[in-house]
Amino acid sequence: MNEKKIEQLLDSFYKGCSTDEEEQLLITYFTTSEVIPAKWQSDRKLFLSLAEHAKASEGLEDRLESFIDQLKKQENKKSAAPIGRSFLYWIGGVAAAIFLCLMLIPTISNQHGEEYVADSFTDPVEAALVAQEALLLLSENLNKGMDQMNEAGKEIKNANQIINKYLKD
Amino acid sequence: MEAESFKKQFLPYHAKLYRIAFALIENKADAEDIVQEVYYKLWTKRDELASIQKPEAFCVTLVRNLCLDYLRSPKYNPKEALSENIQVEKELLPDRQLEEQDKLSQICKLIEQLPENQRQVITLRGLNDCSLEEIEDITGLSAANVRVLLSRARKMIREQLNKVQL
Repeated sequence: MNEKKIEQLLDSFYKGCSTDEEEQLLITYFTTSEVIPAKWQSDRKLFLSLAEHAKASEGLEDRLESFIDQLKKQENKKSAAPIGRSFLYWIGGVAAAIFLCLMLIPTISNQHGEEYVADSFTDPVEAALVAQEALLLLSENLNKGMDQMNEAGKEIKNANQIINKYLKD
Repeated sequence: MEAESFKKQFLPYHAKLYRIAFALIENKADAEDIVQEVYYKLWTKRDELASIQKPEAFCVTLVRNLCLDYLRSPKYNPKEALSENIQVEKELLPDRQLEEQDKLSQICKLIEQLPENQRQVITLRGLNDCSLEEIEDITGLSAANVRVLLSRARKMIREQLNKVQL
């Protein structure tokens, strides 16, 4: 590129009228030319600095990418957690219904005052044993559900710590 | 929209969004926070974004609005904004890089001394970054006004640089 062309481009640049292509030509000239005339040293400084000024810091793209990955993980955890909670509610409801039936049926059958085929126990000791087994089953499943919830809680806590770390940085 | 296609479509805009946020807020750390918030909002609305015809323009508008909200909020402290920007870890840089960093710092200081409109416009435009139409949208200035401000800002910096060299 000859000096006259550079002069024209610079003139356009300082009038605020230069196009993207013209500015790109000037960038190329000032960043690749080995010898720049002394009269254009200030212009060269300005061009190099404008390119650097307001440049995104190194690593911003990587940090944003990690941030998006964390958002995705958090979403996945949220959709898993309610299943664990509703499972607990379901187990509790079923166990309560079983217990209620076991307690009520002998009472109802006594009210009838006549013999009929009952689908529960007449012996209270036996009924208590079965109720105990049902409650044991309930507590075992509750513990399983609690373990799942605790694990999910830990993962959410880890994700929050990572996000807070990035926000502080 | 899956995470990978989201990243592929929107991550390339991050440099421009940062430039706009920095031009309006004038603080690097806060500008990064704003850009992160932009991506958070884009992520939460990603299923609706498929219908947008100009995603880049949408992102530019979003970052501008978030910046304006931030500037109106109690969190914004204009005095802190400019002073934190020039950070040079001089003890870690070799001499040549140190020299280049000093030149950059010099120009940054000159830019910071410009009137606000000129400072914003020259930061947004940088070199071939935001288009004049985008600068008009972001600042609300007319095309003629943007050109005049760019011209003044650039000439002012060149004059100051020539004075220093003399």
